[in-house]
Amino acid sequence: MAIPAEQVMLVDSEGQSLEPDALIERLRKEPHRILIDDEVGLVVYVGDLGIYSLKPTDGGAFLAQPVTEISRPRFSTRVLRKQIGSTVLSVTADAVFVVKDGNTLKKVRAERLQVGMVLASGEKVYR
Amino acid sequence: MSFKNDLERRCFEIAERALGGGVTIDHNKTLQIETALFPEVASFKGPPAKEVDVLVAELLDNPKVVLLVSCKLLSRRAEPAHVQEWGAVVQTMNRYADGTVYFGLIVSPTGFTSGCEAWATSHNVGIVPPLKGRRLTFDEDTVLRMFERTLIALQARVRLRVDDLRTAPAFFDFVYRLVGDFEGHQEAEVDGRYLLLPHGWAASFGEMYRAIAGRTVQDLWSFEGGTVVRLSGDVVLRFRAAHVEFGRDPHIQPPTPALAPMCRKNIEMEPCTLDFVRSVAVGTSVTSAGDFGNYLEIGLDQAFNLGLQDSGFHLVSTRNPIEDQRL
Repeated sequence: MAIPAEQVMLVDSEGQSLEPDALIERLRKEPHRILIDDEVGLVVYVGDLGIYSLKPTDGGAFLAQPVTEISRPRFSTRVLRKQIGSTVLSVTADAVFVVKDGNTLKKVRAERLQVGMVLASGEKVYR
Repeated sequence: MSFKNDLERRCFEIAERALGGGVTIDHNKTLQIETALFPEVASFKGPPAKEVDVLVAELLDNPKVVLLVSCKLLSRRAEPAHVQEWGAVVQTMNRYADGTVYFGLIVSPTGFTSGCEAWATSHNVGIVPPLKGRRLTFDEDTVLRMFERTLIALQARVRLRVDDLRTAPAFFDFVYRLVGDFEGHQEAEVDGRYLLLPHGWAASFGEMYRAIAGRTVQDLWSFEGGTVVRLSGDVVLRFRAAHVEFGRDPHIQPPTPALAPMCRKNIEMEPCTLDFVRSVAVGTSVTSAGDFGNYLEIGLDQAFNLGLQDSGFHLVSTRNPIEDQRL
């Protein structure tokens, strides 16, 4: 499930939360880290800084994944708020969910996710 | 240099511009391998040699990192077979690389069918445009801008670290992240009202406000068809009915001879002079902004609203009571 860039949760190797805006502004001062800075947005390399992103799992826990680049698009896609099971998430409109459709599974984008649908994980869409 | 088609020529020119050289095109290049017994040969159509058209872009000298680009000029979307083939080519090149690291990229202006993503992921091949969101096809110019963006970022990236990109699907993901944001950007470009100076990039109201908020008004004037406010930090705000341009422009100057804009004050829009508007606005700071279509209004020191119109300015006090705060 996609998490929009604005909602990314970043932590350092100590598990301390990092504020993305402040981090980006700090890294802007290190030109060698800037991979691209153009009309689409900014991408900086952070692979050597021990930064991790936290992604929510279906069970409500967080999975820490090492981050090599941080992207700051100037125009991100539309963001929706959805409640799936007991979790309320912000997801991009184009995020893909796998839902049960009778005895089969099908992929549905977040913008077409309807209340009452049941994900492959068994969780129900509430809003 | 000879080119098979216009796409190949444009890709070559973009690669030369983005990388500053080290780009070649090979037609009907024969991929030499020592034996036909290796599994990667199985996906080739012919015996142990495969002829390919390839744009070769050298990204780094030490270690030598080379990007192999396949430019697909197709009438339909590229299919999994195209990705499988290029994945096999890159895999074989890496197998006999002798220290050189090869990455593979496919550029297909007509897009890719949905089955391509799984193959591109497993073969660690980048695809441009991405399979993402509602739009799966883009015009050729946009696809080539994606290609250029990928080349610039990739060259910078391999200077920092290469090895982690070699493990699938890291390189595919890297390219995907670089080109996946074009969808939102294209939607903003269609709107086209806000433009960021000096390049004229598509921008948004929020970005415009962030650029001007807190800055001090230094001067204001009009030009044929619009008005300008110069702010501290060499930032300008230029209003025309259809466009709002903002950003750094240290060289902007009023036209000579100066135009006499239509200036108004107070809610009643009484006539006034540009010098009067200047006397109030210069030295104040931007504290808010609103775009009303045919005019743009910026709040100054939370005390005045300065309106930029295509024919002049208006100025209104926002303090209460209104009758005691007339300008």
